[in-house]
Amino acid sequence: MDLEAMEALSESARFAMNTDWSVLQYMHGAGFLADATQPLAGWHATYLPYGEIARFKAAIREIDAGVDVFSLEHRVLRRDGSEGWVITRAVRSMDADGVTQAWVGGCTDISDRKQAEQALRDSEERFRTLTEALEDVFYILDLDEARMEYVSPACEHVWGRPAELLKESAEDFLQWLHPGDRAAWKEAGRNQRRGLATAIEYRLLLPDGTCRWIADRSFPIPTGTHHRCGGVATDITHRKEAELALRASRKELALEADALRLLQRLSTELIRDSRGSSLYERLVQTARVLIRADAAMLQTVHEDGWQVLAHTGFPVGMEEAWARQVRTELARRKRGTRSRLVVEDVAKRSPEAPTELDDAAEGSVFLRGVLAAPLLSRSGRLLGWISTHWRQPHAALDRELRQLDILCRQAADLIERESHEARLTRYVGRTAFLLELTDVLGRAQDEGEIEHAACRRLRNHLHCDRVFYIDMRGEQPTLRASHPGLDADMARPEFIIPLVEHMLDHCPEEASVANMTADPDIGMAARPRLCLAGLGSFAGAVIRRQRRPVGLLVACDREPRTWNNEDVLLLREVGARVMESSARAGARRAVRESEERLRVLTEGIPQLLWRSSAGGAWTWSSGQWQKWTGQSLSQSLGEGWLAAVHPQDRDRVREAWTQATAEAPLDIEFRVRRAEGGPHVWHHTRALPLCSESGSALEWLGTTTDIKELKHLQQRQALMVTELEHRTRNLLSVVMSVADRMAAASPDLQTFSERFREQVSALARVQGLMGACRLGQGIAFDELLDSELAAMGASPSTGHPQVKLSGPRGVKLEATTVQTVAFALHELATNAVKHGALSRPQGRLCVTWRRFVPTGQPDGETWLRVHWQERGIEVDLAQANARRGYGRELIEHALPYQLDAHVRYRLGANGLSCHIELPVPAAVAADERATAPGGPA
Amino acid sequence: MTGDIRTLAGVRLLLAEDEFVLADAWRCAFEAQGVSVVGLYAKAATAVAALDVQTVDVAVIDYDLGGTPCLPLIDALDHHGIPYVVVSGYDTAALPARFAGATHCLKPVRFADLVKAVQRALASRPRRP
Repeated sequence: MDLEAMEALSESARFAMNTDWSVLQYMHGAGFLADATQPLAGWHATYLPYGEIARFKAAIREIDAGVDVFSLEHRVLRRDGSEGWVITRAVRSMDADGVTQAWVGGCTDISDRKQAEQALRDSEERFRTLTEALEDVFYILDLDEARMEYVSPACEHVWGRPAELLKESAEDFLQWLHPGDRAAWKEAGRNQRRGLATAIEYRLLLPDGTCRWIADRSFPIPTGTHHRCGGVATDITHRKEAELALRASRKELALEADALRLLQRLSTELIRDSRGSSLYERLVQTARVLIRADAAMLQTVHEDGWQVLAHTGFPVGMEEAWARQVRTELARRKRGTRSRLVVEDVAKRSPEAPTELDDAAEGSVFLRGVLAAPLLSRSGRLLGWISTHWRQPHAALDRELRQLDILCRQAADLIERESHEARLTRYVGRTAFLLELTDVLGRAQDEGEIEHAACRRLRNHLHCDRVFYIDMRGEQPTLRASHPGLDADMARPEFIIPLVEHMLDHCPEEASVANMTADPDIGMAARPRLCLAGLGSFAGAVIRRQRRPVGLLVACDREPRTWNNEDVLLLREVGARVMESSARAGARRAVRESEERLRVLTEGIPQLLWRSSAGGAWTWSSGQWQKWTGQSLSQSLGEGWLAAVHPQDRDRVREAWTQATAEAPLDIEFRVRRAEGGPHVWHHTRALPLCSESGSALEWLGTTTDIKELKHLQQRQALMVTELEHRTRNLLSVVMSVADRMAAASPDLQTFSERFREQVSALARVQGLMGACRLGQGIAFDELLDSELAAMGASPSTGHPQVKLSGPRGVKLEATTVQTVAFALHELATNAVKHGALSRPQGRLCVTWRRFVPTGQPDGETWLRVHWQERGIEVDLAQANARRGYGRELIEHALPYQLDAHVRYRLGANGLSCHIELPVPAAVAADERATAPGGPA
Repeated sequence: MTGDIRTLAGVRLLLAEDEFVLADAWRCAFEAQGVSVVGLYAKAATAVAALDVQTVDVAVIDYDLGGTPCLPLIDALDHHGIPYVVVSGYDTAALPARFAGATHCLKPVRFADLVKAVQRALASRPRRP
C-alpha cells in the first residue's frame, strides 16, 4: 500500500501501540531504533532514556479522548545505545464503530536539529549573560542607518536612559553630552564611519542633572552588508573624580607643605630665638603669608583691656582703628563666643550694624574682608586674636583656615609661654627683692632705719621717682621715711592729709592706683596740692593692723604711669614687712633696753649673782662674784664655785642643793673666801628656780650676799638683848630693894609714894643717860650733874640763880659707875632742894670738880674730885642728923662700896660739904674743856 | 661647917654683889635670919682675897660684878669647895656652860627663894672633911 511504500521510503521508524500505550505492538526501527516484531510490554526502558520516561508517560496521560493525534519531541535510546532526539507522531486507529483499536505512528530522528537549536540557544545565552553581566554598555551601531542595532541592558545604568530610547534615536544622544565634549564625540562618529576604532571620554548629562564621565571605545564590525561598529561604554566617573581629586590634592599638598614648612620654621625659630615684640612681628607676618592676606594683626586680651602686640600691612596709623573694628565685630557676637570670626565683606554687612570702619577707613585703603581667629591657651583661656584683612571681599580656603588654626595654636602657646616667662621673671625678681629686703629690714636696728631702707629699695625696684611711708598711728599722719628724691614739700600736712584721705576713702581694701591727670576719684580740692608736690601718679598700699590703718606706703612718679596689680601687691608686701620688721625692731629694742637694765642691775647691786642648773652646777656668775672671790667666770662654772666656799661648809652646801625644790628653794648661809688667800666671810645664799610651764625647774637664779655685818649685828643684838635683860633684872632688883627700904623708912604711904617716885624718876633718867652711854658716847660728869639738877629745877643752865658749877666739861664716867654716881647726885640735889641750900633763897650751892692723879697710883689712872658745897643757910644739926636717912647712907656707903670712891660727908652749921673722889677713865684731850658751865658766882 | 642647914642660923655666908642697895638689903635680911654674913664684896678680887682669910660655908654671888663676870671668884670657891648660889639678870642659858650644874637664881629674886637656893646649895655639897 501507499502506507507501506511510504514506510519503506521513510527514514522514520514506525510503530503501533495498544490503546493505552502500555504495549508496543511493533517497531520498525528504520535503522536507528531497535526493531520489535513481537508486542513488547516494557518498551519504555528499551526506547526511552531514564529521564524521559516520566515525561513521556505524562504526555500519554494528557491525551484527551477527543484528540486523535499525539505528537511529542523527546529523547530516545537509539539502537546503538546512544541518545538521540525524535519527534513521535501517532494517530488513533479506530474500527468502524469509532472505537480506538490501537495507536499507529512514527518516530522521526531530529537529533541534528535539536543539536543546532541547542548550540544556538547556548550561544545566545552566553551573549545575553555576558552583556547583562557587563557593567559597561555594549552596543552595536548601524552606521548606515545611524541606528542602534543592539544595546546591552547596562545602558540604563551607564547612560541613564532605557535602551529603547537609544534605539529610537541615536541623534538625541548628542544632546545628552556635556557641551564641551560634543565636538569630540562628533569626531569619533566620523572616524567610526571611516571604519576606524575610536576611544573617547565624554561627560554625559543625566536626566537628574548630574554629570557622569564615560569612556567610549568602538571598533568596526566588518561582517554584514551594513557598515556597523560595536562599542563599549564605561562609567569612569569615580576614576575621573579620583584623578581630579588626586591632582587637586597634589597641589593642595604642595601648598600645605609650603605652609607647614613656614609654620615649622616659624615655630622652631620663634621658640629658639624670638622674644617679645619680634616674636609678635613674626607671628603676624606669618599669618599674613599663610592666608594670603593684605594685613594682619595680633591683639591680646587682659583683665584691663586689649593690647595690639603687632601688626603688618595696615596703612600708617590705621592699625588702632582696625583693632577697634575687630573688637567691635567680636563684641557684636554672642558673649563668650570664641569661634573664628569671618566677615567676607564688611561692605555687605547689614546697614543696621554700622561700624567705626567707615570713618576709620576714609581716605585710606579700604579693607573689606576680615577674618579673626582666637588664641586660646591650653587651658581654654582666651589670650587674644589674630586677625587678617583683605582689600577685596575674601573667603578663605579651608586649608588656609586650618593653617591659620595651627598658627593660632602656636601663637597661643608662644604668647602663653612668653607671658609665663615674663611672669616668672617678674616673680623671681620680686621674690629676690622681697627676700633681700626682708634680710635688710631684719638687720635694721630701729623703725626709722627700716622705713628708710624699705622706701629706698622699693624706689629702685619700681624705678619710680619717690617712695615714702606715712605713719598713721599717731594723731596726725606723719611722713616717716625720706630719701634724696623726696621734697620737703611732701612732708607738709597739706600734702599728706589729702593723700591719706584719698587712700582711705577710695580704697577700703588694701591698695589704690591713681593717675593724677585721669583719675576722677581724686577730689578737685586735693588735686592741685598733689600736682604741686610733683605727684603725677601714685600707687599706694594701706597697711592695716587689726583692720585699723597704721601706715601708708606710697610710690609715686612725676609722670602718669601704669601701675599694675603686681606693683600694688608689691607695695602691700613691702608694707607688711615694714610693719613686721618695725614691730620686731621695737620688741628687740625693748629686749635690749630690758637687758641693759638687767645688766646695770646685776652689775650694780652688791649681791653676787649667778645662774645654775639643778644640783648647783653654775652656768654663769656675775662680775661681783668674780671680783669678790677672784675666780674667773670659767673657774666659777660647774661646781668650781665651791672652791671659794669654806671647806667646812661645802658638804652642807651640797646637801642643801640636793634638797632644793621649787617649793623649798635654796636658802643657806655659808662662808665664802675673799679673793685668793683672803678671809672667809659669811654669806647668805638664796636661789629660786625658773620653772617651765610644766613646773620643772629650768634653771636657778641665785644671790649670794655678804652677811658679815649682819652676822655681827645679829651677834651684837643677841648680846644686847641679854645685856638688856640682865640690866633690867638688876634694875628691878634695885627698885625692889629701894622700895623695901623706903617702905621701912617712910612714916606713911604718901611719903613713900613721893620718895619712891623721885627715886624711880632718877633711875629712869639714869637709864636714859645709860642708853646714850651704850651708844658709845659715854657720859660726862657735867652732863650727869646738870641732868640731876635740872630734874630738881636747879640747873644753872636753866637760869637757877643759887647754883654755881665749876669744872671741866666732858670728863667721862665709867658706864658701870654712872648709875651709882647719878644716885648719889640725885640724893644730894634732893636733899639740897628739900632741906639744904636751895630750900632757902639765901642759900648757895657750889659744885666744883676736877681731874687729878693720886699719888702712888699707876700711870694713866685718873680720878675725879667733886666738891659739893652748900652755904648760906642755918642748919638745925640735931634735926638734920635725926633725918640722916637713906640718901646719905647711899652716898656714904654705896659709893665706896661700888666705886671704890672716897667720900667725906660733913654737915656743918652753914650747910653741907661733901667731897667725893672716884676713879674715871683717862682723859681724851678733845673731850674736855677747862671752862666750866656758866652760872652766878 | 657651922650652923643649921635648915634655918641657916650660924651659917657663914659670903655675899658678892656689886649693887650696894641689893647687897645691903640681903645682908640685913640674912642677918635677921641668924646668918653670919662674913663679907660683903662688890668686886671679885676682894672677895677672892677674903676667902683666904675667912671661913665661909656658902656664897651668894652676882654673876656680873662691876661689869665683869665673876669667874675668878667661882674658880676660888670651887677651889675651896665652897658651895654657892649664882644670882644674875642673865637667863641660865646665857651663862657659860660650867654654870649648868650650879644653883642659879634669876633676878629679881624673892629673898625666900634665895634662902631656899642657899639651902639647896649647902645640901648639894658634901661636907668638907
